[in-house]
Amino acid sequence: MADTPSNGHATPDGTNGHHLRLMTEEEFIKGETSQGILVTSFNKLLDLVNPLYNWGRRYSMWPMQFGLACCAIEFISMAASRFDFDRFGWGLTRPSPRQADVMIVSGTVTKKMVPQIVRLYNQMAEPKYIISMGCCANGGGPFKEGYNVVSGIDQYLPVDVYIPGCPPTPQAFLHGLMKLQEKIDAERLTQVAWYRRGPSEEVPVPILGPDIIDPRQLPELRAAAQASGGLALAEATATETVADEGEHGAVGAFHPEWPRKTKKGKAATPLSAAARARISA
Amino acid sequence: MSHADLTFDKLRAQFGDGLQREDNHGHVSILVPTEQIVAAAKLLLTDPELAYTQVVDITAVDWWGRSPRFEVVYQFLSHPNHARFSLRTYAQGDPPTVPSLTSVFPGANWFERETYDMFGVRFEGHPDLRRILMPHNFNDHPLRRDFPLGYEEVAFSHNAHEIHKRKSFTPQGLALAAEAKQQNPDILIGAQSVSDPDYKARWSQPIEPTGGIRQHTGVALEDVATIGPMAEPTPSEDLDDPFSGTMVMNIGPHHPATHGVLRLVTELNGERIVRVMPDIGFLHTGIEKTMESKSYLKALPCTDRTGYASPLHCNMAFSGCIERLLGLDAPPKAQWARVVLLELDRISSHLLCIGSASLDMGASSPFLWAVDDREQVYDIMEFTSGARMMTSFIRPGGLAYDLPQGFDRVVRRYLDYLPSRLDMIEEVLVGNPIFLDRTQNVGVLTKADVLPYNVSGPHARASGIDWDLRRDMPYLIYDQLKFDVPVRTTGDVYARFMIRFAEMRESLKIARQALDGIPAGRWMTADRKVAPPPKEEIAISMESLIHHFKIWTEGFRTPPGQAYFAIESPRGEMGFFMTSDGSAKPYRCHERSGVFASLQAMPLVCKDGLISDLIAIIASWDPILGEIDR
Amino acid sequence: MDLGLLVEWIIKSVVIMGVLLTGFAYETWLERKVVSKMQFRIGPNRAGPFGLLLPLADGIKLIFKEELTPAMADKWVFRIAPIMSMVVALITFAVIPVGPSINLFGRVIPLRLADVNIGLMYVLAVSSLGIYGIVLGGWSSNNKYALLGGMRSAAQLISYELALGLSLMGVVMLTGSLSLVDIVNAQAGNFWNWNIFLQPLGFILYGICGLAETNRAPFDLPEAEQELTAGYHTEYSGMKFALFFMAEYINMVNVSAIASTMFLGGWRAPFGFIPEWTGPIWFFIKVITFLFIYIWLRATVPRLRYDQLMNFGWKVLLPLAIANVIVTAITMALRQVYAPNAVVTVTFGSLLLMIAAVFLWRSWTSRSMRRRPPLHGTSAEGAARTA
Repeated sequence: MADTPSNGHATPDGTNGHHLRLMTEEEFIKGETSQGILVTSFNKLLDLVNPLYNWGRRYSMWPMQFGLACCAIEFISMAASRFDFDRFGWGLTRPSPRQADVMIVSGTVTKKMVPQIVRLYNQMAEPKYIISMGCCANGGGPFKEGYNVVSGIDQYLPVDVYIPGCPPTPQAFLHGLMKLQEKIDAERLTQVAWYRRGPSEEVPVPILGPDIIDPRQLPELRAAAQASGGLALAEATATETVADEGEHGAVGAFHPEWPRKTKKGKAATPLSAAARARISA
Repeated sequence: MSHADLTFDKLRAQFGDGLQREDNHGHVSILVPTEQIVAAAKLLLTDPELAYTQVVDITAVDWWGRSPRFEVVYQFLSHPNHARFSLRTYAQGDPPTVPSLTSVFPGANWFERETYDMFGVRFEGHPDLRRILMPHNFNDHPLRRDFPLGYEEVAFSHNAHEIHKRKSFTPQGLALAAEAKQQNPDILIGAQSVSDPDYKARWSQPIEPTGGIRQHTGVALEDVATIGPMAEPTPSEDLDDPFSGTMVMNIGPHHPATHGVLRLVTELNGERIVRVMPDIGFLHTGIEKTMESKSYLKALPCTDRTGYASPLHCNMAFSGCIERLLGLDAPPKAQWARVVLLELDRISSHLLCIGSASLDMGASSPFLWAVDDREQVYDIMEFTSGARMMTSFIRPGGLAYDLPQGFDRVVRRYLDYLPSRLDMIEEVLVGNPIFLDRTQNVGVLTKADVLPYNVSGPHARASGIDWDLRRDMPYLIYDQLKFDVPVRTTGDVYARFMIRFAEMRESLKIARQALDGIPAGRWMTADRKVAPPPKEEIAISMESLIHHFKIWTEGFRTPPGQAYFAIESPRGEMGFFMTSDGSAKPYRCHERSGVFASLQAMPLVCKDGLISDLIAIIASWDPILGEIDR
Repeated sequence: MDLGLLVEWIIKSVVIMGVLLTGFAYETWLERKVVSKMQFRIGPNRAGPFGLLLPLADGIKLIFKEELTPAMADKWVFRIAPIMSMVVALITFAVIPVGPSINLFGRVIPLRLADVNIGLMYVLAVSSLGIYGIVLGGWSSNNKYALLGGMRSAAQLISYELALGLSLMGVVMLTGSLSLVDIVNAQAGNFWNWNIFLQPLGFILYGICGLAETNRAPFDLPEAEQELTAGYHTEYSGMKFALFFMAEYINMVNVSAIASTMFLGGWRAPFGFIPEWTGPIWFFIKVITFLFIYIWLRATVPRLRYDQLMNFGWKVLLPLAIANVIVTAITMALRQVYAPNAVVTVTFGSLLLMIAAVFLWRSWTSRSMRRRPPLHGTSAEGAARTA
């Protein structure tokens, strides 16, 4: 953007205006707006849409009709007449993951159930959110020590809101619901992860095994197992056996190149960070 | 002479004088040689004087370090004689084996499968001995004493090293294991010796796809339960021919109508059901193992979380079992108050069942009305105990606290309020011909199938079995109350719903009587070895302080022995079997839930129904997966 | 061809589409509000006053939602199916008159898109096309639940389309025309001229079949949530799912509009002295009343089972509809021979049939209408056995 002053006045830089000079952005915008021209960029235009976009989504979150354990009973209470989450426009629970926007992991996640949960998450359409309801889903809860219990769904799926309690009261859930709405409000259309080229990435479906192997750690585990020699347990468990194919077939086969999901824009889960720290230590 | 004495005499006459009898506070059990267990069970069933009509529970106790190691315990119930009896036997050999009782009692099926799954005790002659709760490729038996509680223990600074060592698959664990193995090649790491040559082989077994259209189901049909005498459908000749085969459809574990994570592998011919095979265990939290690692008082909150539709009943069964071990009775006030709370709990459970059933059939409003009425039970519970659902209010020896002031008024208001609401819900459902057509003559469980398949509770009463533990083998103060036991004869889905409506009305009656009768006095036993002393006493009495400290740190001890205590839960007989070794933790703690036992009869009644019927049947069965999977 | 006419058609089409699409949106709002009141709830109230902006929020969300196509799906059919449903739902409304002709800019503009002389035939033909969308959608998804939903839908359509068509035939015979405009004009005057009084049975039959046609409760078997998770649209997400959703609700409007036109005098006011230009308002009121009844049923009635649905359609509705046609024909013949007063004869015949229908209904449900059988076995009995 250049400007050639023609009035002959000395310009502040003392060049008398006979040279071409680059205007600063501010000057340019000032000049343009004085002529009634709206100066913007595509990104800024999109930012104007953000409030509308977020507003629409925050009042139209359809949860997946999906209950695991005790918390599901409190979830029912929350959906029922007294607490009535339909007030927020969340009332259309969809039994099919394809139409759901938010998955509420309500209850104890067992090692037998976790592949199915991950598969359901993979089947949901973007943008999708996860509310982890209750201590069991948050981190194992009262059964954390149990041999068949997963210490929190966040080891597998990116959780957006954690609701503590055993089980959380409906009021607590409504608070969590509003927290998710706040989170949605802060999102920007230009920064969200899901409008990119190509299909969205699937979360690897965990393998049913003697213990839950974190699939994100597998390369490290393999290396360590080879280094220690003989104790190739991790390798043994990493055989690509999809233990339990659901109704829709195997949606997510094992992904060896994990972790790659940073593009999602969701925070790295605590475990992977912790695992990396442990390994580097 | 009590019925147990008679049974003992008859058994001795048949099997010789070598039988050992063990009495634990009225719980009589007899140790039978392994090879005679089937004959003994047959005698118990067929002898007209004994008539033990049901084997209500089968489980095992792992006496690790002894030989023989596994003791299998059977609980028998005689409906005609209102008596219980217990047989025990040792599993011999390697792998430990006992003969299966399924030839005598078909309902033993799932209990034996569970025992096999959890302990690795093989039941010879069992038609279908497969895992039931754990994943089918799991290769250990988690309730064995040498199996660790879990891999993902809470790590603190003092035990992190220990935990890492057990987690032989994490990098630290691998390093530690390698280090430990250098020092001692035979060391045991984790659940299994890593030096076990089969270890890798067992875990790396791929799951074989079964070929044809069936491979989509994941579990091959042959793997999934075929229960009892269900007729085998003629298998289609060519699985690849889409016109000859039946379709296999998974209903669950994620499905709106399965009330949680029940999975039903359904073989369909069009919409008509050829076979239904329940697959459970998706909510198996290993709660029995967890409870065995905790002192009695700390194990109590775990029980709430099994039968989460009726948590107080679980509390009651657990507390009652401990009280039986201790030889202790709760004070009268606690007993009467327990009855009030239990009946409220029963109402709330039945409301949930009926409400969700109406939702499953497409009528959403009665569901929300029912949940609204449940809310008020929660209000009473919150007012009484401070928690809405998981109250843990009934404790060994009495109640957690005294009843709050105004309890009487609050409960009475609810008892006055509910009948009209029940009428309204019933009117909307029963007054609707569509609902009647959906439920009547659907899913008929015949009376002849009830006892053999271990069905109890409302399901049994809907089929014409006039049996209610509250009346027939009373616990607490139920023998002092006047109430009717509703029974229906048709055994269809409709009858199961109507039974629940009638039971709720009876529960209102019971609760009112019990509320009238709550005496003054203590709410907790005065036994300082069991009940913590009141706070004010701690300030002035050294001894109280010691008791308080001991109870909340170590817990109370129970005398060694075994006990089985059962109550009438909203889903049938709920019992706890406990083995104590004299310590403050249960050596073996087993929960017998009514719906786990009766679910094995469900495939019988689904046959030849439509998918819609299956949905109605599931709803009428009221499966609470926490109770089933534990 | 008159250019003005072309412009008029385009404008009318746009208006109809706009009204139907916003109407659909506010129908969902109405449904959620009405159902919540019946369930002692508040219902949506956060998005805008009384939750009035909720449909907008739903729309924004659905537009921006990712659309998934299952890997094994038949991709083209999968894409076409919702469009098919939607288009068919939209074009049905073309022949329905919503008001009288008005004078605007010197033109006489009839408040309808087209007066086809086989209007009713067009409606029936087009509305049964919509089921193709559902069947193909269910089939192409490569999902067992969707397949079952599609099959159910096809069977349901075949069973109820016959009774639906026949239930309207009485009106056609009375009017002597298939044009909806003629049918509305035949009901001019006061409200007792409406066909509902001549054809009460036909009206009820049409109401029931219309419910089944739109897959609404208690006939919502194709998408029975608790049985088939989401039925034929199990695999649909985003706007594709929204199109199915829209088609269902717009079909509700269509069925209500046809019921109003055929039986309730269409846009005609209940009394002859009310000026004609209020026509669209009356039409709106009648449609809303029907929609309310739909929603009411949805909130309370359980779902029929598949075989019951078939039995009801073939064994109850179809014979009744045929009988209705026969009785109407006989009474019309009698009218020509004897009675000059058509209304009395036809109404009488139809009422007789109604009574017969009620008896049939009672006999169909009699086995299930026995209320609260007495309880067997009480504590006394148990105690006696114990002793």
